[in-house]
Amino acid sequence: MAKRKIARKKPAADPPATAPGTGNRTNSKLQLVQQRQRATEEDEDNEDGYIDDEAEEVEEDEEDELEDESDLGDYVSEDDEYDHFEGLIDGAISDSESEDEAGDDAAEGDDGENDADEEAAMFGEDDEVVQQEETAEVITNSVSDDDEEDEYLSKYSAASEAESFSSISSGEDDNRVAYHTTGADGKPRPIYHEIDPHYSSDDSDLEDTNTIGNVPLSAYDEYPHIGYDINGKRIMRPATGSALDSLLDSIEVPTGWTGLIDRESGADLKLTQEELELVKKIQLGENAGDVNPYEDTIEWFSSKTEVTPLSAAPEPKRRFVPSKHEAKRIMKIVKAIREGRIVPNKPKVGPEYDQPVYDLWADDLPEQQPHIMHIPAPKMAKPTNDESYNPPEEYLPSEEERDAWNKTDPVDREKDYLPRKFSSLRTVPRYESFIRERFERSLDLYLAPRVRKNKLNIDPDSLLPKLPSPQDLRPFPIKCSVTYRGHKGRVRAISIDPSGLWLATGADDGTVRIWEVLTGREVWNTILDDDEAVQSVEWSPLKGCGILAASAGERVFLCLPPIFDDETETMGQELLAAGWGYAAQPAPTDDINKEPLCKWTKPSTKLAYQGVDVVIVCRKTVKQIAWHRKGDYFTSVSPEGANMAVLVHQISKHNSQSPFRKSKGIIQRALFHPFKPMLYVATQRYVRIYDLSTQSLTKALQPGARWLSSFDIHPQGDNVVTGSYDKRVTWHDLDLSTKPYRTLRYHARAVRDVRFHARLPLFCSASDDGHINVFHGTVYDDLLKNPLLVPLKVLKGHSVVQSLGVLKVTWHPKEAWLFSAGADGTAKLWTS
Amino acid sequence: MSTVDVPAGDSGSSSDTTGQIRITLTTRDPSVAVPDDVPLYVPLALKRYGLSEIVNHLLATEKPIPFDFLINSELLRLSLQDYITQKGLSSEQTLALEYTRSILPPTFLASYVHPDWVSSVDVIEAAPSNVNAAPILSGCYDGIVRTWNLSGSVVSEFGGHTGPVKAVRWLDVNKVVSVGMDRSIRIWKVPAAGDQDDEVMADVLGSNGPQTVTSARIFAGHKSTVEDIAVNTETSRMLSAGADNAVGLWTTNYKEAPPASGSLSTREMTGKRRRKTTLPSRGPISMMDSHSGPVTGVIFDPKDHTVGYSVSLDHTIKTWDLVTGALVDTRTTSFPLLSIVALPELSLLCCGSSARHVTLHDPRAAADATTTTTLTGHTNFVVGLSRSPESEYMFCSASHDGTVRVWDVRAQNSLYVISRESKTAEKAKVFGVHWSKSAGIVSGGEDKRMQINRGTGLDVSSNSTQ
Repeated sequence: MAKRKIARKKPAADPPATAPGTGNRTNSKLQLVQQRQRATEEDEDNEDGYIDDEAEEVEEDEEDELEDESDLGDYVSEDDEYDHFEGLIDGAISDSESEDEAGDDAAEGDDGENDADEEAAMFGEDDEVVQQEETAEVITNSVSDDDEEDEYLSKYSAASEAESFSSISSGEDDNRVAYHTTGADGKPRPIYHEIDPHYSSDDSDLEDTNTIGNVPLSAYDEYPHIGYDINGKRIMRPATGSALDSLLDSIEVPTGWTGLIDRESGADLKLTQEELELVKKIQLGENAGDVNPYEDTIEWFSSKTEVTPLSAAPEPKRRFVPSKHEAKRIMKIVKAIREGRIVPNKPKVGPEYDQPVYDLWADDLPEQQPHIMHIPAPKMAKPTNDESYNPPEEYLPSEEERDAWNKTDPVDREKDYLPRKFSSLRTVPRYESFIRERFERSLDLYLAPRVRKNKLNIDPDSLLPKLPSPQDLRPFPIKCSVTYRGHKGRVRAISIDPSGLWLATGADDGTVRIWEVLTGREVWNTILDDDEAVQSVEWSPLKGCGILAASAGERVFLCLPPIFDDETETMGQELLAAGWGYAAQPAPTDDINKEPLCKWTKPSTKLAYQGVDVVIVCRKTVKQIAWHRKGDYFTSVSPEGANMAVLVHQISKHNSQSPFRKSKGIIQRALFHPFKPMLYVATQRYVRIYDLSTQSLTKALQPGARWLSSFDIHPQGDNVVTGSYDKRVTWHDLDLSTKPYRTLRYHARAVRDVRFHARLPLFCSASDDGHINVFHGTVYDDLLKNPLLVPLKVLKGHSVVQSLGVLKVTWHPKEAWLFSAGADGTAKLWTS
Repeated sequence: MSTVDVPAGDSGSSSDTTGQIRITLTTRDPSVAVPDDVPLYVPLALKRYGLSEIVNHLLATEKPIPFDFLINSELLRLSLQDYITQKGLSSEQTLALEYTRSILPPTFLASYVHPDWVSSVDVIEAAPSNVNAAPILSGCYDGIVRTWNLSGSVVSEFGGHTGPVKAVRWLDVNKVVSVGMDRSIRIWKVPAAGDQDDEVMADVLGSNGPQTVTSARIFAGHKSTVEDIAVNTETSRMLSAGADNAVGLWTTNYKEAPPASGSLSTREMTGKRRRKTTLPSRGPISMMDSHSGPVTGVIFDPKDHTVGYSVSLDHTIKTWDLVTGALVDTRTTSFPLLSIVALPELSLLCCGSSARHVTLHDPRAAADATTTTTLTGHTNFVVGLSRSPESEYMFCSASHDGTVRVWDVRAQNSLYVISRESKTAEKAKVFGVHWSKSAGIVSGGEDKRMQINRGTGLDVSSNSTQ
């Protein structure tokens, strides 16, 4: 940009340079073109912008304009103005020229064409050729005639088209014309709007300078203006004040007042403070520039040898010619030696110099740098005190020690010698084991591998993941607070009602019991089956209905324990009774031959007044019940049921259906997704996820266990934790893989149950070793962050009966409280 | 300046037994004031007992009076050496000790056997003139409310609850109120004992057994177990805590009470048949249900009868304006709360929590501006609290760990631990406790017994009678 500015200013600042006549102009143009070609050739490998600038500089000298295409959009308006005043300048200087204004106009037209050509050239490689062509055209055009007006017009339109090519609409182009007036030649001449110089404008620094040149200002004395600005507009004479004003001015001298008139503007010439300073300096004969006369001296010639010498003078001759003075002195010494006054290398005499000197290391081999892989042989152990021929008394063995040494096997001996004492060195016998010792040493050196082992120096702690302290992850269950006693068999099933007040348990004694959670008081019990164990107990998730589903043998019981108020009970009764009508309807015709999957029956009177409302009789033993979150559906799992292992029961219609046609293996557990229409089914090896809306298999998780015991779904639905009889608990992130994200091996025996907390980031696993492991498991909303699993607490309290420990666990719906059912016939509440 | 040489009877835990510290002794009780307020030098190894001996020595009492010592209104439970080490004080400073009469460790008096778990107890402080034969009230899990006299026999039985009774309170000398798992609140009229004295009464009991009352004024409105009841005789109001997350405000006057919204029907919960009986009942003045968990405890503010407090398993203490039934303040703690009692002189609310401790809250201050004191020591749920009738600083707590602990808010640890006298295999839970002036600490629990312990000493008269 700076370059451009300089280039622009040139014609204005130096008008005589463009003054020569037409013939000269053409010549100079040719010269300039050649010059430019050279410049272009030289700068061929420069950047485009730079080449353009160069070209432009040259072109502007010849009053043409090759606009830099890259920022054409910014400069279009400016171009126009530029054209405008170029014309004026031309008019001003070429009065004597034979060429008329039409020629100028033609030149203007050329501008446009050149723009277009330039555009074309920008995309082509052969800049020079195009530029040559341009120049030729310029030459021809400069000598063109009036009668080429039509051509001019057409070219002008072409030029405007070319301009519109550069992202400025032609409508905008028209807008720039304020009005048309008739020029001196009688042709319409557009008068453009004043340019609003904005920040990016190049002409923002153009001042209203008087452009009348060397004409004395007195020539304008009679006119209201004092000259013309660069645009050819009149510069009006500033208003001169009245006599009173000038009197006032002379009384109150304004700052910078000189009493002179500015020749350029005709106004009072005012000097700034800096200018006054400058004038003062000149008057005093001081240095007028910005020079400090008292600057520190710079030591150009110093003792330091500079890398680049200050002077290029050759070394003086004296540096190469031997010194005569030195020769004189040397001759003096030589003379003294010849005369014998000085004896060189005179042997030193004295007792201290008489001793012969031996080179102790004369035959020493030069120290060799060992090979990089060389390992020096281990040195022999140094002899100790007791190996001396005359050891101190305390080293000598006592009689017992000597016997003991003699009795032990040579291999087992701690030391392979006994310290002995000799009165003198003369009496020391031959060293008996010398040969053997040498031999063993040789064997050691020969056979013992000397291997360089790379030892990894890693702090084992740094390999452990940074887990937060369990103290920071409170609350979690830590202590057994309530023990629910009363069952006379293994408690196999446990469930807490949605309000968190009533705990239901089912046991091998065939009873279902309901407990008050805080006090551990049994408030209701019923015997469902005298022979069969209660396998599963689940409260309906529907609040305010109080329905409890329990399974014993091949029967599923829907009970309404009489512990709730009337409203709840009525609602529960209505829900359970609503389906009797549906059940009475005949089954569809194609299924008429088939035996129904299960029968919905009314309970016996005995069961009825115990609180049971509906009994569903299935074909095989129902091991597990799981409710859908809305409380209308529940699944039952009977592992022996083959293709009818999983049944989905609907309470409102008293209807049961089997979602699978084929048996997929022994089904262990089936759960509904917490909020999606999906069913998760665990077989012995896999957890399969079925989409119930499309009735398709979505995913099959492979926990890598031989026999899964249980699994649970995270309340957000994207994670599954499984427990297996081979002691493992695995965490699956469904977004990651079908393989486990983490495998937790903390239990010593088979894992019986795993459960997630519905609200808090907690899960637990119960095992046959009688322990419950509580874990923290945060699942982040950020999909890039993997779940954080932290083992928190091992809850010990259930005793192991017949190698069965904790059989089932469940979490309190709100608190970090855990309920567990054990084979010892108790259920326990663990609180934080 | 006198140096009292006390034989180091109590073995100080510190090794430095030779060190001495300057103390000053003050008291607020003029009857046991030390003659002169001179500073003393005492061994650092001294504990409460040694200091008490010094005071007794200075008072020259013929019978030693036990004292407790306070430094900066904090009870001294350690030796002086340990105390100054703990506080980072120098032994060259003067310790200002304030002493008060200490209460004696509560001693076991009696156990009254019930047919089932005892859920709640209450004792009425009867005026000496009006001899109330049966000041002790107990609620039992068999659904029967009983009144007992101090000799351990049932005076009257109130049967009618169809589920376990969860809380009982004396309304006045003639009326009791009870709540239970059958979701009802019942007010019973105590049969007049007449002007018979105890012996005659005992004869009556001996001949006829306990008087049985079955008719009650029934109030209904809760949808689940009513866990607790608080009564205020001056305004004739009751507050109930329901497991259905509601706090009920009731009037004790049956005739004034609004009609019940729905007829209360009760069923035998343990019975063979689902028998439904509809009973006439009245409804609450208002049900305030902004708790999100079962309400476990409720009290009236002892100073302002229009304010009630309730605690819930949803971790909050809520303050209620009983005139408008509006919720005034909610204070959230970090654990489920199970019981509440107010210490009016200190403006403190003591709350027992499921996290095995008692927390002290000031209901006046903003919740985030105050630090709550936590008293730890129990090993299970703290389900019952009762304030001391004698000291404004003391209260006792009943816990499922089978103990009743006596606390002083000035001390970090409990003063005394009362365990169950009935030696059952497991620690029997204690469900309710009441500390009365006349009967002592009465507690009932899972061992089907109501246990009475008595430990007084603050009162000079009671002390002299011993």
